[in-house]
Amino acid sequence: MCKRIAVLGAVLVIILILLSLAAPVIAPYAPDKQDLSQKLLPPSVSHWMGTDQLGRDVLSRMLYGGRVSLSVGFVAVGISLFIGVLMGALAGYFGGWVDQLIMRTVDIVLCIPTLFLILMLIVFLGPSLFNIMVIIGLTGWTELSRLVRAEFLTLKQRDYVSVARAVGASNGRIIFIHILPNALAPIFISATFGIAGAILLESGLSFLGLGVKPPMASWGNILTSSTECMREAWWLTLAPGMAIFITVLGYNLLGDGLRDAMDPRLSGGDNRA
Amino acid sequence: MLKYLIRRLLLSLPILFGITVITFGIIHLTPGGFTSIQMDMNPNVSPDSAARLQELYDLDKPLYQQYVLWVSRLLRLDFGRSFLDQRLVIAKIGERLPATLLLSGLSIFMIFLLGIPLGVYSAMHHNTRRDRVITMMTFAGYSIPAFWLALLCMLLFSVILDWLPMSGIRDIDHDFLSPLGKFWDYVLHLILPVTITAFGGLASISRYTRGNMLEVVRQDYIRTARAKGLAKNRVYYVHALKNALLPIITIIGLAIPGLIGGSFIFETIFAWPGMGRLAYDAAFGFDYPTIMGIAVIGAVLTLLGNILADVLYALNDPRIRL
Repeated sequence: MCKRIAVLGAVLVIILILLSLAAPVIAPYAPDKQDLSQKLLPPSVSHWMGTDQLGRDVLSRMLYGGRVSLSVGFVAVGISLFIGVLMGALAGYFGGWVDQLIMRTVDIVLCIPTLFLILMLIVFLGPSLFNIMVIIGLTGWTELSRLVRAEFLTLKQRDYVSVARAVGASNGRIIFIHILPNALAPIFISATFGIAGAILLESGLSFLGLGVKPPMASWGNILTSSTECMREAWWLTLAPGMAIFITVLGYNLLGDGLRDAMDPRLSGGDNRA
Repeated sequence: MLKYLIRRLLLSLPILFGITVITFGIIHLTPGGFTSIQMDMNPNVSPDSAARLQELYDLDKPLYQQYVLWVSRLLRLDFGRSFLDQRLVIAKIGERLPATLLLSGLSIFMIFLLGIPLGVYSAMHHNTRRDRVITMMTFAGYSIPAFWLALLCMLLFSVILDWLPMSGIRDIDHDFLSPLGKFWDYVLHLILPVTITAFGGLASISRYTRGNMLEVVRQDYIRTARAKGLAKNRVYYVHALKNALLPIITIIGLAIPGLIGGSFIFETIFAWPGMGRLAYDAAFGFDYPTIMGIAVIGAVLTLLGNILADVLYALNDPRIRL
């Protein structure tokens, strides 16, 4: 059962990635081509998802918006991964004052409400696709660094680490060649959930005008423009909302399936209590 | 216990120091400078008054002195005055905090009230159809963009059906209502925001409870309880739940930043006059004293919340006696 759901998640994710990559080829219109004579048309054969207030084809904008979500998800999580893994690895491997310094920094960052920190940074740096990716990435690494630290604390006790040290491997080599590959599974799972979170966050921020700015299409800002004509143009509200929902669901299902595969205790059939 | 508490408090001092350094750093390292919005935008500012403003905020002194002066004012709870309306920052925060606490308090209450039983129920029927239905629902719950759900609910319940007010915390004619009418007015305005803000959290708490329950019911003492003939319900809801709930104390601690900071996304959508909305307006108005005030107060309350959670955890779990 769990496997089927995880496969569903994986299929959703792969389809969405392919659609975004192929957007320039399969989009029926240019995403920012305006045609005021065609504005607010309901879905039809020529416009599968209708058109918006400026007569732009919603399907084409959705496909290009998918590229935005995809890049935000991957770049933001990439940045978080880089910082989180590095910090967690250093803290867990070296321990002592390095550990204290890094983990207390994490404690400090965790004390400042994340949304507030993001809001502050966006206002000061200005909303743009690039800034939003970097800001979400820079504020999302703390949990990950705790996870990686915990993994390193256990893994560094293993025999193969002592052996590597005994034959004279450098610290860098032990951390990145010997320990890190064994800690990759939980990191990968956390990254999958991280992508879901980043996409959700970006769409929310873009919806409020704090993320990707029009005319560049993003699912969040398509929703913003839909609020002006919700009653007349239901397709403008439905399409981006469903797209965000399905994408985030796909990554979450995939992450959960991977977690179950890693931790067989939770998926086992033992239910005698 | 007292020793543990004192140690915990002492350990949080460096964190407090770090919080002030980060807040101060972000504000003072931003391009444009601290008072540029007030001065550059205003053609009537003479060099003389600009200098006076600089002096007022100690901007003529070296950075480390500015920091020390700022912190020493913080210790006296002096957060300065807002750039936007010249009111005391502490007063502005004070009048917004209740609205946020009301909204997040109620939604956290809802989350626990519904989420925990849902999780236990799901764990009791582990790997059956009921469990799968609940699992699918929780996945949908935390994947659905809540601001979109908010839009749909506003459209359905406020625009089409006209049952609930769309946004805000009270009606225009609120002051003319009877006490009961006022209360009802608040209730009506709370229904949508509380439901929407609770939605995502509900899913994760029930999922979390389910996971913890599945761990706990594998323990020997649960088998013993079942073996001596106790009913399944009793074993699950009394014996197992007590232990499965321990980690949830930590979740409450982690939820506190959201509780106090509010969510500016929801508060903006529902025009809710809370802390999140205040932060949103302050950030857009480059109202630095208010931003710094909110950041510091939010972080300090979060720190206290974490300490509280740790202490509660230690009180409830005898294995953690440090």
